[in-house]
Amino acid sequence: MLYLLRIIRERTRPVPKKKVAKLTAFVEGNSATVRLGDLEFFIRTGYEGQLVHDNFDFALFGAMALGISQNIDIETDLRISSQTLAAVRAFNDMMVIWNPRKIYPISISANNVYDAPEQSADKPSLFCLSGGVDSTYTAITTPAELNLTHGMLIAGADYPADAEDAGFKELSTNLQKFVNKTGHQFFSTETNLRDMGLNWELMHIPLLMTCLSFHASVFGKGVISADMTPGQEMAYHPWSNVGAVVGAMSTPAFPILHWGRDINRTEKVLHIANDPRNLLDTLSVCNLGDEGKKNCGTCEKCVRTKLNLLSGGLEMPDLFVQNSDLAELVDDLVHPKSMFARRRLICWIYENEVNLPDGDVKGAVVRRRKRLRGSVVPLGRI
Amino acid sequence: MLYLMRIIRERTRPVPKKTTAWLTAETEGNKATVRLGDHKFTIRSGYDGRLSHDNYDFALFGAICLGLSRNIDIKTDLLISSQTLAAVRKFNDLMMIWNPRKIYPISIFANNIYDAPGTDPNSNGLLCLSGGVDSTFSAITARPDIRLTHGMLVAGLDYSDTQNAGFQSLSERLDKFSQKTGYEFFTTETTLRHMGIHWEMLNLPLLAMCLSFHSSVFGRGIVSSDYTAGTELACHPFHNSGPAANALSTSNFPILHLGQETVRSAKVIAIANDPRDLLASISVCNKADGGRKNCGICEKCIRTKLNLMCGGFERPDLFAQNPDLATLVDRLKFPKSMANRRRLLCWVCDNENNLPEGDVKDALTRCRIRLRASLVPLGRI
Repeated sequence: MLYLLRIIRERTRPVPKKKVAKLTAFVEGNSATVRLGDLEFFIRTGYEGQLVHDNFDFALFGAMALGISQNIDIETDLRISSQTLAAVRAFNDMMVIWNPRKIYPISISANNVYDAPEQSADKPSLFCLSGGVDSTYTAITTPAELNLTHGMLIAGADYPADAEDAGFKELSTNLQKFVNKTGHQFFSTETNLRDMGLNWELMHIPLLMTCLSFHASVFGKGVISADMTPGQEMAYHPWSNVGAVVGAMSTPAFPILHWGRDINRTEKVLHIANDPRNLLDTLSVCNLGDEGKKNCGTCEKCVRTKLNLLSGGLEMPDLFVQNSDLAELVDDLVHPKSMFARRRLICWIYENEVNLPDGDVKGAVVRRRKRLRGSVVPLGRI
Repeated sequence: MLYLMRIIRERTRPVPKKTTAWLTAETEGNKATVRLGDHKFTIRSGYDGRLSHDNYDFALFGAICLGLSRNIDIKTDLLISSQTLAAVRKFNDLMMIWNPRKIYPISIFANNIYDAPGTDPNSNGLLCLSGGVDSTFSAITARPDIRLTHGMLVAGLDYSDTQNAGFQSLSERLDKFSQKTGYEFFTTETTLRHMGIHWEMLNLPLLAMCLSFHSSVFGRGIVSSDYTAGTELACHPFHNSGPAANALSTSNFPILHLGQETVRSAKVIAIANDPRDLLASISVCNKADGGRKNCGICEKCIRTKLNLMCGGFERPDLFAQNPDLATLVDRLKFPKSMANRRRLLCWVCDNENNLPEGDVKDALTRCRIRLRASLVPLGRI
C-alpha cells in the first residue's frame, strides 16, 4: 500500500520551474570557483604540483549535475572541448530515456567549443580512492601499462566538503598507510558541489568526473571503480555508477576507465584478503565505529563484508569493533522501505548465498533472500 | 490507476507449484527430441552437413526456458559440459536478482559433467538471422576474426513453423540477402516456444539452444543486440541484454552479442549506405502483401522510416503504405504497460536526436513529452 502511495507521490511531484543560467568559472592556483546563475561551488585540490587548465570541462560536468538536479538549462562562453560537450549531452539523453525521479533533463549551449587533442599515452592515471573494497581492488589490480600513480580522496562526497572533518582526516591517515604499502601517491580534493542540492543517486559520477577532469593537465586518464557487475547494475537501475554512464563520460580528450565490473564484491574482498601486503588492515567499510577509526561491524556494509569474507572461508574479527553472531546480524538487517533499496539488498544477499558454506549464516541469508523477494514487485510488462 | 491495479495483480499472482523433472534427449540425424518430465519439444536443423553431438548442452539451454517459466527444477544424466552448466546457473542467478514477472528461479542438477575443450579459434561463426535491422547490421559489420560464414533463421519464434507463408516469404528474402553478402543460409525449426515459455525473458536461451545445437560445426554463435548499454537499462527487464548474453557464453561455445555500441538509427543508415542495396531485402514487419512486404504503418515500420530519415534517406518502395510520417507519429498508440512505454521512449528519443528540423521532428518531440509525462519515474520508490 505504501508503495502505491509512493508511486502516486512520484506521479504528482511538481517539476521545478525551468530556468536558464550562465555558467562561469574562475581558477586561482589549484582551486576553482564555478557559478551557475546564483549557485556557486568550489573545487580545491591537494595535489602538490601546479595544474593548468586548457579548458573548463570540469566546470561543465559539475554544472550539468546541478542543472539536471534543479532543472536549469546551461549557457556558457567558457572554453569547452567538443568531446566533453558531447559526453554531457549523451549523459543528459540517458536521463531522458531513464526518467529517474527528481531528474530534469536540460539544454546545454556552449559558445566556445574546440576539438581537444587526444590525451597523451605517456601521462600517468588518477583513480578515485575511498578506501573501500572497490577502489582498493582497483588499486591493486589495474595493469601496469595504465600507470596508475595517484589516488584521490574527495571531501564532499561521502564526507562533508571539509578536509578538516574528523572522519575524513581519519580516513586520510588510513589511506596514507594504504598507499605506503601499495606504492601509490595520494592526495585529497575538496568540493561543496554536493551541498548545492544534487540528486546524489544519479549525479555522483558527474561529481567524480568534475574532480577527475580538474586534474586533466597532469593525468591522462581517470579511473572509477565499479560497485556492481553488469547483471547487478540492471537489478539496481537507475544508479549512476554503471558502465553505460561512465562509458558516456569517457572521451578521447580524457578517457575514464570503469574498473572492476567483471567480478563481484565477494571476489574482490577475497582478492584483497589474499594480498600479501595485509591490505585489509586499512580497509574502510563504514567508519561508524570507534569515532571513525574502525568499521562498526553491525551496519549493512560491515555485515556484507563479513559475509564476503566468510564466503572465502575467512573470519577477520579484528577489522570490526563489534563481532556479534553473524546469522543474527543478517536476521536483524533493516528491511528497506523502497523497492529500489530492496532490489539492491537482494543483489548482495544472493551473491553471498551462492558462495557461503552451509550453516546458520547461510540459513539466515536464504531466509532474508526469500523475505526480500517476497516483498518486491516483479519487473516487466506491467 | 490501471498501473496500480497491475502492480497488485503481479504481487498476488500465484506461483506455480514447484516440481522436479528429468531432462532427457534423443538425437537422430539433424533432429533432436528433448523431454523435461511431461514436456517435449523438438529441434530440426536444415543445415546441409551432418551434425554430431559430443554433449547435450543444447538440451539444457532449452530445458531452462521451460523450467524457469513453469517452476520446474531440472535433473539430468545427460552429458553436459561444466561450462554450460555454470552458464545456465548464472542465467538463473540473474533471474533471481532481476525478479521478472512470471519467472521462477530453479535448481539444476547434472550428474554427468565434463570439462569441454575450448572452442577452436579457427572455426566458423553462426549468426541468428531474422532479416531485420539488427541481424543485418551484424552480418555486414562482423569483424573478420569472428569468421562469420552462415546465417540461421529459426522457425518457431516469430513464425510458427517452416510451412508458415510469412516464414517462407522471409526465407526467400534471406536467400537473396545471402546471395548479396556471400553468407550461406539455413533454417532451424523448434517447437520449444509452443510449450509455453515466458518469451519476454527467455528468447535468448532459446537462441542459445539453436546455436549450440550446431556446435559440432560452428565454433561460436552470434546474436544481435537490440539496444545500446544505456538503452538496455531503460528497457530492463528484457531478454536480449549484454549481461544475459554474456552469462550464456562459454569457452567451449562463445556467444557474441554484436551491435551494442550502435543505436538503431545508425544501424539503418549503415545498411542504407551499403552498396549492395541490402535495404531491398530488409524485413521489418512482413504484415503486408501476404508477408512479402513491410506494411509501412506499424510501430516497427514507422521506427524504420524515421531511422532512414535521420540519414537523409526516403525509401517508399520498401513499404506497402506511405502516409504522412508526422501524422503516423502523432497517431502512435501508447502501450498500456510502463515497460513498453519506456521502450517506445527509447526509440522516439533516438530518432528525435538525429532528425532534421521539421514536422516529423516536431511530432516526435510531442510524442516524447507525452510519453515521459505518462511514465512513473524510476528510483527510490
